[in-house]
Amino acid sequence: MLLGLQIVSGLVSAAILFLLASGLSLIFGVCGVLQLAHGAFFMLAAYLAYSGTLLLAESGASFWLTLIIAPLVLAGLGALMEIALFRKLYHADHLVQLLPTIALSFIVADVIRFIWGLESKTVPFPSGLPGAVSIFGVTFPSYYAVIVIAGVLIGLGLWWLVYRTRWGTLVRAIAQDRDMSAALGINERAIYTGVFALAAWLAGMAGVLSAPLSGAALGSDLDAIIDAFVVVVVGGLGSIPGALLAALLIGMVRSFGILIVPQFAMAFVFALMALVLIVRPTGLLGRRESISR
Amino acid sequence: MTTSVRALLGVCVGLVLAGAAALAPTPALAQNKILIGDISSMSGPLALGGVPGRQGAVMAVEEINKAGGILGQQIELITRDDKSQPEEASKHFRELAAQGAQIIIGSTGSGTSAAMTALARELKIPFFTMIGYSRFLSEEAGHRYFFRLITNDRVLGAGIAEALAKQPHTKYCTIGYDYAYGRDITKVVMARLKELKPEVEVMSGCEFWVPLGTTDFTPNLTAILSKRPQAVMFGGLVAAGAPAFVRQGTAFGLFKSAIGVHPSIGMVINSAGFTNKADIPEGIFTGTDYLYPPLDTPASKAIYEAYRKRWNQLPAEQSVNAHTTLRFIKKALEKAGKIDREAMIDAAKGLSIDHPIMGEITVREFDHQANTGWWMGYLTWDETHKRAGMRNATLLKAEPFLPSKAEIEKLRTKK
Amino acid sequence: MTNTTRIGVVALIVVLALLPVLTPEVVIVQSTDILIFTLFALSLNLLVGYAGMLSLGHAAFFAIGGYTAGLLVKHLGVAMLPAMIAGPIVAALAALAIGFFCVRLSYAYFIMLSLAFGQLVFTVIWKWQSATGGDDGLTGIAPHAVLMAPNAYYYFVLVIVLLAGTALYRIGRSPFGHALLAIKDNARRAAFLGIHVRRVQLAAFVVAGTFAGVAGVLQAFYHRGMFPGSAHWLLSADGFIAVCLGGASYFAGPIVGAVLLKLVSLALPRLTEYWMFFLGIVILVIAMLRPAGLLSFLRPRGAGVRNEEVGLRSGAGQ
Repeated sequence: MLLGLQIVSGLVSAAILFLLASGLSLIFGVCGVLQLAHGAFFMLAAYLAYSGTLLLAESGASFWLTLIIAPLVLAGLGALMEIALFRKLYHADHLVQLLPTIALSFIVADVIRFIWGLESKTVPFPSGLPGAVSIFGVTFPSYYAVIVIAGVLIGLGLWWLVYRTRWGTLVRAIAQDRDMSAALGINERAIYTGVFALAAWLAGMAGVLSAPLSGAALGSDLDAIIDAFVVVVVGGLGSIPGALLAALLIGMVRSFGILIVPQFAMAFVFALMALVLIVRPTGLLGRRESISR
Repeated sequence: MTTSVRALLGVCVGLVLAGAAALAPTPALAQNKILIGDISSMSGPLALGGVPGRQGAVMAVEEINKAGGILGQQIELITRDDKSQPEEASKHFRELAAQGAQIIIGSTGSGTSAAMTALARELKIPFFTMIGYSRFLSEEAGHRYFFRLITNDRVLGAGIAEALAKQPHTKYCTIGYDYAYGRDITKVVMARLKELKPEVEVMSGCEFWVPLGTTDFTPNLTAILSKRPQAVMFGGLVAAGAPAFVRQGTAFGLFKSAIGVHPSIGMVINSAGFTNKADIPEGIFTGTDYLYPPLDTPASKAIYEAYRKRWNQLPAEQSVNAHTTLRFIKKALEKAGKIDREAMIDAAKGLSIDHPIMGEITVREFDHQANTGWWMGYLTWDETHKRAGMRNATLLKAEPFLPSKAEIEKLRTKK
Repeated sequence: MTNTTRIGVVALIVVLALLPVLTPEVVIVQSTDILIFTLFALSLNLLVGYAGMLSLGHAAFFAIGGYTAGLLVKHLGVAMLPAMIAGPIVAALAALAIGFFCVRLSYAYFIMLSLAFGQLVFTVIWKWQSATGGDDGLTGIAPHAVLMAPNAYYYFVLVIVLLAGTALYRIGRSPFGHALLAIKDNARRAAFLGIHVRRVQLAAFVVAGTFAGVAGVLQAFYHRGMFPGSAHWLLSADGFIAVCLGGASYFAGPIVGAVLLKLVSLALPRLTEYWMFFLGIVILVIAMLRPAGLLSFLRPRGAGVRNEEVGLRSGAGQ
């Protein structure tokens, strides 16, 4: 019973972490940008989930509609950001590219404060779900199953998109060797915009899916961006399978770690990251010199 | 240079000038004004309390000035944002002191208050904290220049423990944020409860400390459920944490098998996250220093109406506490008969004031802690205000739990 | 340094020295804070600007310096001066231990490992309440009686920041600084030239950590206490913003950036609760229009301190 429940909660954490981190990893792998505003997008999505479920309450399926709409809004924002800002910065120094992403996260956080105020918000569990499910004798709220299933489906979709479509081939080509791809006439611009949009969509999914659990609160952007970075770095920058592996690992470490040494919950994840990086300097599944600069 | 670059240069120069102007002292204070500094958390995690606190202070100053000020002098309130950081608070404290602030107040938490109270002592400026509930401030760290009109975590923790001792539950789990208030409140409640009722135990492996700001408690909840406790003390989870824990706990059916205990979830900032009746399970034992629905007394209704009229918002406890603090300052200065810090402090010792929610409260002579109480009851849904409220509320008296003069002296000499 | 720059620097020092005479105490209180933050940003720029490494754990050394001094004064009754010397030394030792692991990593991995170690330091400070006071902070660290007054402490900070700044300037122009720039430019080529890349990077990490420790010590006595937030990665991020605003490839970049950032975040909260929004806009505009920092207004591209003075491009380095 105990073991089963901890596994379930580990899987739920892992699903959210994976959605959050895979977008970040994708942007870094393809565009070489560390997108520090990713956490702010996640937070924005949680607030959109709050307003969406209120505004669409009449429809009877408000949460599910929000789950479709809000991430698309985020995707639009992501694309807009790439076109308006990052397109001009690819040739700038790597560290300089960080600055606008920091600025954006300040701006998004204050816009949220302006629109929704300082108080945190809770989002009801979606309607139309049974209260609890039992699998192998472990009983847990059915919404947790929704998160895990969504994580698996989106993971599969991402795999299909990156490894089985023409777009994915181009994306991987650029991640492999940017100059060569440009020489071959690949339209980088469209790909970059698409990658930013996809990443923001993933952050949006993570934000909306986690909203019924954690609610929407100011400050969650900082936790989200750090969590996402830890997963990306532990898994290996630019590696989506790595992000999956790391998300599972960190989800489980969190879930079981609190049973063993609850008083040090604060430091688990950082200790794990330090350990992984000391043993494997490019993360679990990262290529050596994956980004050659 | 292109136009945009020139514009940018202009903006930068403008900002630097604005900053320099901000640095420059306010033009010589108009004669016959009492300068009061208000260093509150207007941004950062504590802004949830700092913003309504400042609004309460502003409203009080407007009322006092309209009624003729203090001893014929108008109050000038200067607000500074400490950004919820002790270093910022400390900087602003020095700055306002240099500008000649007579008194400094702050709708700010315990950490920032600790930084400011140290300076208050050094610079000999009276300081009133209005959100810092840590007992440490008036006990070990207390001194002549520190005042607190709100209660402290020793009182509300011990009071809740006393009420819990009358209940049959003995098997407890605890969960709290890993920071000063979170730890204090959890430890005070559990220690006092064990004293009163030795058979109470915190189940082994069921004491959880989570990083400040966490809102996903799933792994902790599943672990708690598997222990089958009779009561769960989650008083160390504040702000967004408390509603998130209640919501996730309800989803797992936790509050059907165990009672929830949270000494302050009834406080407006904690309960603000509850936006649906369905969010609130029956059987969470809690407390507050501002009740919803508001008390049905003239004083309570008066400040409720005035605040709604002035700010078009519902008052929070910080608003009422800041308002009361300013009224207290006025009363003390008038008793002193002159605008003088030391005379005000002497006048404030043992002085009483009517708190609209708590009734008459008195500032104790030896530690400047007011004997302010705490409302206890069960969490419920307040349909009129569409937010969390309390039912079966009773007022806890502070006196039995506050340390005596001898105890305070012992605490302060220890070190 | 050209003659004009020299005159500018002297003029600036004269103005800073006369500040307490010319302006009221309010300005001195804020200026002390700005000076301390400037030193922190300068120390960070040894990593960012010269070595091309962003440490998000840099605040840890700032905090270690300050807490070391504070703990010595408070728990062992050590005098101010020895405590002030001990702080940076302990910070340097910590930087040596942490840097040993970090410098092996490239770019983003370096950022994250430094962040992880920084947050571990933060956690230790937060959890070790019996010594550090946890999140209530370590209060009651008073400076020597002579330095209690704001003006006296301002002069003290000014002298130390000027000395430390000069030292950092000289380090940047020394063969060691040249080696850092060569590594930043092209690590492989630097290795071929016989530079021991890791060792030089580690040395930079330690030197930067030491100066951050100096800033931390100054802060501890200024605020009469240390608080855990001083070890948080958000302070490192603030330092990084300052460095980039002014321009990482100029020695004076962090100075300009730190002063601008502090003044803006002083002015904006007095105008609006939503100061983060406007601060974000300011940073965004500068980052988009002047990616190389504000100082690139004064010195056209390619003529930055780095290339001009170090002479890497002309092959005159080393």
